[in-house]
Amino acid sequence: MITFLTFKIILVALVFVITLLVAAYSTYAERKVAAFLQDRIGPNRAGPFGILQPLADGLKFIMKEEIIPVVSNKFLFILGPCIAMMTALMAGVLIPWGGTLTIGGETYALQIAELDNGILYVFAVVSIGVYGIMIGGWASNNKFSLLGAIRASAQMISYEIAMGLSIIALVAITGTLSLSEISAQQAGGTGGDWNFWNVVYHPLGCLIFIICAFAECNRTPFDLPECETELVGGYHTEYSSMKLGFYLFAEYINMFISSAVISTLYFGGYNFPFMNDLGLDQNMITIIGTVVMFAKVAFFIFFFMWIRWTIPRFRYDQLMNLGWKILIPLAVANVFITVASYLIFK
Amino acid sequence: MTLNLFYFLSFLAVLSALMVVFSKNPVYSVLYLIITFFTIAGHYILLDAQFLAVVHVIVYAGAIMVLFLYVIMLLNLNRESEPHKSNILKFAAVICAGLLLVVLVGSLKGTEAIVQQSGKAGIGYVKTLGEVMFKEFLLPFEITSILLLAAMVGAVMLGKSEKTNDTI
Amino acid sequence: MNRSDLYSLTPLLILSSAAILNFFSISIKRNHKVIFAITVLSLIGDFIFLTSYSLYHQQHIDPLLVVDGFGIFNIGLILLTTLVVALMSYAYFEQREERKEEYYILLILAALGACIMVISKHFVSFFLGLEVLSVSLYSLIAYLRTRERSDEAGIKYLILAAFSSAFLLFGMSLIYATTGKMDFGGIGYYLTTTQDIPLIMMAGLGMLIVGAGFKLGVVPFHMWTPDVYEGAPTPVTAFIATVSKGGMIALLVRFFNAINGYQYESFTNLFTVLSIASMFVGNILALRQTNLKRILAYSSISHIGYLLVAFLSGGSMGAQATTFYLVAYFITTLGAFGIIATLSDQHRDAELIDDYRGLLWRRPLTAVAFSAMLLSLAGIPLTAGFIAKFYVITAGIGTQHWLLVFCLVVNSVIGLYYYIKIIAVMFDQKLQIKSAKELHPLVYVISSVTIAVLAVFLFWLGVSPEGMLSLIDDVI
Repeated sequence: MITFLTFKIILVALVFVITLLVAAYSTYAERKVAAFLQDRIGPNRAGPFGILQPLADGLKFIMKEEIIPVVSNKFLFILGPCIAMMTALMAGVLIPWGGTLTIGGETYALQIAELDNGILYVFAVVSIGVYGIMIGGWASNNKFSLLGAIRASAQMISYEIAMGLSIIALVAITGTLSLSEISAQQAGGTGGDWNFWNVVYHPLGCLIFIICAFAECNRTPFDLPECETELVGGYHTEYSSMKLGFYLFAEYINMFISSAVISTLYFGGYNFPFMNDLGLDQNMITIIGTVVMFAKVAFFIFFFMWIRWTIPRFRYDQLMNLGWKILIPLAVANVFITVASYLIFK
Repeated sequence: MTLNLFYFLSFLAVLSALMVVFSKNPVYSVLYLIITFFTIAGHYILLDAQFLAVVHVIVYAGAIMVLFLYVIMLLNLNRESEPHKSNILKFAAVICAGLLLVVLVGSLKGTEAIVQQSGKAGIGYVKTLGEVMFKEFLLPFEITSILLLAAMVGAVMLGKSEKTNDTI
Repeated sequence: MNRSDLYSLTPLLILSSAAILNFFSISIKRNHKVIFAITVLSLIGDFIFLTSYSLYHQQHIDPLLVVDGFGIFNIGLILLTTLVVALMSYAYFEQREERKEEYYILLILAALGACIMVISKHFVSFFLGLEVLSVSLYSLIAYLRTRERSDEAGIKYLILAAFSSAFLLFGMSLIYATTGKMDFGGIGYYLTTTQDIPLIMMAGLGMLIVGAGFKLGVVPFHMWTPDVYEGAPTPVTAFIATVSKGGMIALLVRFFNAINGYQYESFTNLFTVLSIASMFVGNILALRQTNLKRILAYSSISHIGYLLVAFLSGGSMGAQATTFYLVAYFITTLGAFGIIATLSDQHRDAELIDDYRGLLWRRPLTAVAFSAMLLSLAGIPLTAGFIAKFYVITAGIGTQHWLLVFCLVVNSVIGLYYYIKIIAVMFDQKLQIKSAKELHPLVYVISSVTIAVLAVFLFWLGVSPEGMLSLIDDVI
């Protein structure tokens, strides 16, 4: 029991640190990717290749003067970024980062908590994430912030529906809501027994899920809550110093978690092809699997950035039309098509 | 442990529910209501109903209250815009609610604890719930879909903007 | 779910498929006539299908529904009422410019909810049926959005209905906490095993009655009635006054018979108070009104009070009197609102008493029919209302509810005043020339024939009620 607890505590600390680290380096990556896509060099002063840039940025955020507007609602003004950060960090609990490790005769799963309805838990956390933005935007007592907050809530509510519908087919066919079980079911194809990733069976669902994940993270092309051209800074117009940093950081954490969820649900999670044919030790497979998982996550983070620097922002009515009139009917159709074809070709 | 947790959650639930009523600012009321929903979700978990707890958070805290907050922020309701209520009304409301409280407390006080063993283990799991819902209670499930249809038709009908002559 | 279950549920399935059919029809092309035809035909077809059941049909669809004679009779009543409402809606909505088509979907769904309610024997189906009915009614009430009072009425009904649903649910949960059962039979069985009703269950039943009282509009839960009646489109008002209330009464009869609620003095006392209060408050408040819809609203409050007298008598006599009263009240109320609907013009409903001044000289037949309806509401011999009231009094006397019977008689006299007042206005000489936009005459024919049929039924039941009575006797 004690070892179990120690293991879990270590795991929690690890996931926490890695999440923050990944988020920090995502900011660096974002600028590098932007530079790459725009044929520039990007940050290159702090350390070799600018590798210490996130540290410099963080230091700058902390050292900046902290301004809390006089007319704002102080408690809620501080609460906003806290909630944003907290909910962003909470979703990582459910993600299976790897298979099982056997140390000293005991088996540990590389997942902080295993829940019977893991996906729903992730959805719950995502759905309350919007409060950070709404509360912050309202408490600032600024028209632009309020508009940003209102846009954010409308957008997230709309896309949550499509998101929830998009995974119904997946859940129906895998027969479970547990993330670890969904991962385990996609365990690598061996010769003869072809076991594909879920994306092969649910291409449409996967596409809808990814689009909705973009919207939930407020990433371009869905970054209307903070679009600079119309709303100055959107919901965080009035924020400065580390509180602004928290908002920005939460966005990158959300991106990281979304990538992890996408990889777990549709791209095999920690599984990799031919994993059972290599004749490796289980512990070895798990370690490689974890590396593979992070590679997939890194790819999706790159994908997020790639999209950001390629596709322009939607107009608000286009955003709503896409959500309600295209994605939701498509998601419903996806449920029917996938389940029907499953029943036919079973 | 469970009992202490229960008392803690109940205390929070009652406190935040009271704050919903007493807050002058509607935004605060909504925020307290969200806390109430979370504590109730905690109660569900204590009762071994995890699915219900998560769905409760998604639907109530995550969707309905966001819309509440949305509307309140959009209307920009403040303390000043609150309509004045006469004291007689407040008095009557307090008396009615107080009587209800007395009745409930009185009736709950007299009952001994009703212990009912749930038939199956893991009653709150999705699988158990799904089996009950799609076998024993399939008909009400279908009726619920009709209920949603009625609500949807009504909402679309009422919400759709009327075409005026100058836009045609 | 097996074949015979499905057979018993076919009326509900027909209704829901009619709603879906309307749905698709609208999505292809909006056409009032087509939607109207689908609605009317499916209601008629459904009723014809219903007559194929034997009156002694008994099908338990466990755990929720029971399709028995009483349920079938009530479904038939609901279907016919909905049919009449649909028939009078055509002319009413054809004059108006708003979208007319969704109305029929919502009407069918509301009827479906009421049908589920009258055959339910379980809290789950009871609540779901009630909610399907209420949710459809929210939007039906606020249907004519351009009108001044429709939003007010819709929102009032929405809030109060939601509030009463909360009471209902709380009551159900308290009952469930005590008995561990949600089906009426199980609760009844639990009550036979205990000496007294536990206090907590009493509280639960009390809340249940509060919730039901809201829907019935009995005093002191009647506040919404006049405003909603006034604000809703007239056919919808007719629907609320009949189907919504009648469904609830039928459910209460079933529930109280299952738990044998008549043996508990606390409940009979409670209902006695509700009944007397409804009779007096309804009738006395009606005296000062000048708006016909509000008068009918208050009149319906008092009529529910009369109904409760029959309900309280319990037993088969009470159930018979309740059902017969329901039938008579349905016919009369539909007739009265139907006439209001036909006299309404494009801009407003004919709801003020002044609109009826000299009606007899302008439209003699309508005035005569309207007088008949009002007289039936008042309970004058030769009309269905008289026989119904007679039966209620017989049931009341049979079970020695003297106080209730006395109040009923007193109130009938009070009620007579305002009914006669309307009739007197119609005889008034002052002529008014109204120039409403005339529609195709055929449109009016539908409404006129409907009202004529209702009037014929009214007299037929008033003169020879034996047929209906033996039918009711058979189903109970």
